[in-house]
Amino acid sequence: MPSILMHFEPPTDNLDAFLHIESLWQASTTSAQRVALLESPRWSLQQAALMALRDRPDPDAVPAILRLLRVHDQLDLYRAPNQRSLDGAPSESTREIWRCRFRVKQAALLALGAIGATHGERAVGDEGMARLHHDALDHTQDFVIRVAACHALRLINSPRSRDVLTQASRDSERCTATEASKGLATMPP
Amino acid sequence: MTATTSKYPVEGSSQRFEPSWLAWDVTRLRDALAHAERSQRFMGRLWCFVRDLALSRPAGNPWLLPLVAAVTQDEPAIKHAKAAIDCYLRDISQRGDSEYLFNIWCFAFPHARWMCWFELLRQCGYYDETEAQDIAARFLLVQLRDNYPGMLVKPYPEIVDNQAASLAVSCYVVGTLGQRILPGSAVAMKLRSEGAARLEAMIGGMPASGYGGEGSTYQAHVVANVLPFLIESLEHWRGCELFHEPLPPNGTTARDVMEVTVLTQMPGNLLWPWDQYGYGRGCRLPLAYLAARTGEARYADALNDPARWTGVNHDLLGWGWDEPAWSLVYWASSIPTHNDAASWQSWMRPQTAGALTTPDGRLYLAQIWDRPEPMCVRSHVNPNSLTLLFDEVPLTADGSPRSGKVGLEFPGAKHFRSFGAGSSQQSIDMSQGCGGAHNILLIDGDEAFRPRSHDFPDAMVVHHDLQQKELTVDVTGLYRDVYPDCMLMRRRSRLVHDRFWLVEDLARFGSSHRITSRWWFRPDTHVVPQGVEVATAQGVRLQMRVLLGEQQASVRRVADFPFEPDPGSDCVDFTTEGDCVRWLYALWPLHDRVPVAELTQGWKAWPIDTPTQLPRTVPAQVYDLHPGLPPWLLSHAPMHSHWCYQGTFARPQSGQLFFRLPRGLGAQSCVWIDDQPVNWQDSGTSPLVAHSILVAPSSGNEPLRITITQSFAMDHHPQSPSHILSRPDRPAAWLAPVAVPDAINDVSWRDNRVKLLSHGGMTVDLPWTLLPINAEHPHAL
Repeated sequence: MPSILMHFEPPTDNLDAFLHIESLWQASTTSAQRVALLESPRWSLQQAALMALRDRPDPDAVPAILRLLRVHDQLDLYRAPNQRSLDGAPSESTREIWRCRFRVKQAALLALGAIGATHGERAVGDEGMARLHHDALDHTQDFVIRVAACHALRLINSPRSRDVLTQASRDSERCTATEASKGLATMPP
Repeated sequence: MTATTSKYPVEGSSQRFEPSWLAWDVTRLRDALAHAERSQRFMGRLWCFVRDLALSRPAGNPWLLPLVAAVTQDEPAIKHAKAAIDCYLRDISQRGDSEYLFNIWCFAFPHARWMCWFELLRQCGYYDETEAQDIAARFLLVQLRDNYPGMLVKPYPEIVDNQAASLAVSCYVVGTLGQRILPGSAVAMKLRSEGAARLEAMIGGMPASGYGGEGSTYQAHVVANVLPFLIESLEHWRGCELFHEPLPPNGTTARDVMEVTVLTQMPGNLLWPWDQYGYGRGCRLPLAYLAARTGEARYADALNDPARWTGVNHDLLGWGWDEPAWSLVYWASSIPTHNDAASWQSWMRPQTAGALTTPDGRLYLAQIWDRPEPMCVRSHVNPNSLTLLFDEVPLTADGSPRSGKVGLEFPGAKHFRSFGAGSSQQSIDMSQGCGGAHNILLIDGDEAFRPRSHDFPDAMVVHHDLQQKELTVDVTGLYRDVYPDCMLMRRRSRLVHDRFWLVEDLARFGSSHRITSRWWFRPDTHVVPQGVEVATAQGVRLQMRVLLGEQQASVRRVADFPFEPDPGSDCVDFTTEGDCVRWLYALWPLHDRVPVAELTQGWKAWPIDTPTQLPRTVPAQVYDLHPGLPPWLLSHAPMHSHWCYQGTFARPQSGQLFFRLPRGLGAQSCVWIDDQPVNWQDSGTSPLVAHSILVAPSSGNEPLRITITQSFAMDHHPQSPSHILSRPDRPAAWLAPVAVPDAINDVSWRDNRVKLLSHGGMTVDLPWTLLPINAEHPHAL
């Protein structure tokens, strides 16, 4: 696991923090700069960089996005106690990981979807498609992961996703089922 | 009478529209509220209450502070209001718990409203530019990190509900205000434009009736609160008036949404029990907004009913506590009121529901036929179910079980799901949403009746005549979805001579079935010849007589369903077998006791510290207030949680007598008669109905000293649940038994005529031809 993720830092919300994030959408910011932020120790910056990549899809970002997803797979994202204070975290870093929960993963899947929609399925690659297919049906994660994966698959619109979307269209969570059904409805034969 | 005119463009106008939350007209608002205060009208009294509460208890009422600070320009209030916004932002920026993340819409809409309040203070000049930019940036950071991603996983335009609407509005409002304060911000522009793309569908995608299908509580307490921001955002984005405009895809107007919300508020400020929340309280914003947008005085007039405002500082609406502030903003923008007495009208919305009522609202019948879902948690299965109200007293029972109790458990009504990783599987018992929990026909004992599919035909209004106060509605489509040989299922309801109801059912199948006509009544229900009688604790009775069909009823007490107005209900079944089954009922409400004097005069009131003890002395400073409304809605009174009311009243007559407590009394309120404690809670403590005490009989007219204590929630986060704190909205009264109640003497259906004779001398001879047995369902087999 990259060391950066061992010391998540809580963000400081102020104008400077905002302007930093705002810069990700500026034309003067390069895609490489956005990709570089995926290695930030702050999950909120990772998430913002992914959202900016969703708006400015770059196939070169796919390996970094998949790497980030693998890193988050290793994190203890979902074991937070069901309480507002998140008391019980052994450290502030863990508390920050619990706060992050699904947010970076969701943004990563949506960014993959945008890249695939703009540059085609090949830009996402086999590993990216496999990841989306897995997450669309993964009930061990929060439901928004399934919705985001189905949304991405719908945008990519590959016949390879037919079986996955068919299964997801029967999900009892209606946003997941709706995204999957929409994907099936527009899928080429 | 206010001299202001509406700031809103009228129907068809091309006037450009600037929402209040964007272009606050602070001068106008200050003038309108100052004028209301001087005029001693109810709006002024309410404004004084909101202002005094916020100024005296700023820590407990942060949501009211920005409006109060802006209008009063009070320095401490400005300081507290700015601190409230800063405190909110510090708190929300650290949220990441599952309650927050899995319910992000509950936070997105309040987030937008907090930013609107910030904008009000900014426009008042209470922030310098740098400070304002910093605050705006903090709002935008939360929006981008939490609410915007929440919106992205709501499929658009398919998902139209309170959640998707809240997220879309939040993005538009925060983005728009962000752009204004941080010009050129790409993030703000992105939030605004992506929110804008979804606005139209959130209104036009609702069913054409304006009812969103999520039950009366969500409709009134969330959807109707989001709606002003939705439509004003859309109007702002498009640059034209759209309030009356049918919007695609369903042609629904914003006005439809607000009007149907108002229509589902019954006499006595009770909401329809149209979901798992049962009888709830009505709210103000739909009325205030309709008053502002339509210019129709009837809406503003309705706001003058103090009963609507008794929970003003502890009603959680739109997931926040600022609904009174927004209501005041819009009410102050409305045209002058006429102060006419409110008039109730019968109404019908195709594919949704209707109501048959007397002009004074005394008799009120609601019939529901909206489209349910297989997952009937909030969208209940109630094809032609009826709700009956008499003199603001509910006669039928609906709602949810007492906390921690099962109440209802129909076989096959359980559903298991899990949304979150690591969370245990959630077991949802949908029994209270199933057909068996409503006043409908059940087939072969299938209490867990709910649709199997999503594509059955809608219910259809076969006949309606609102002058005659009659509705006939066909719900065959839903029944056929579950019972394929169902050929016809209809209910016809009529309010006859503004005095009683006739209800006719017709069920026709391809083969014989066991059919049950199920009714949920409030206790106590007992079997009588030809039907049942329901005697409520409020001295209101319902006589149900079967004029046609199986007359033998079974009555079963269900202890914990619903939890109010009584802790339980009586389930009444009439069961028969056949392939074609009919019932014709006469439903006759009456009083067993009536008010002989309302006690609004002669009380002394004063603040106390210990509401559980009988005050031994009366202080020098007392107020001439009666306990039927919170003190601040009657007069200028100190902001104090606990109050004592005392009065000595002569018995209005000898013989048996009841003392009716103010409706809305909190469970912790204490009552003494002649200094002796009275255990009034024995008859129930629901604030939805007025409870009565039987006074010891006397042959004379000697006076009685009545003492009542009440406790009021003064802060947004009361330690106790708000429903046990006092929110009185009807005066105390003496009630006396009716010597000869106006009960049914004889009633029958014969030769296509209903004949009825009452003890009060009413004679009815009404032609009544039964529903045609051979009528074809519009979607015939």
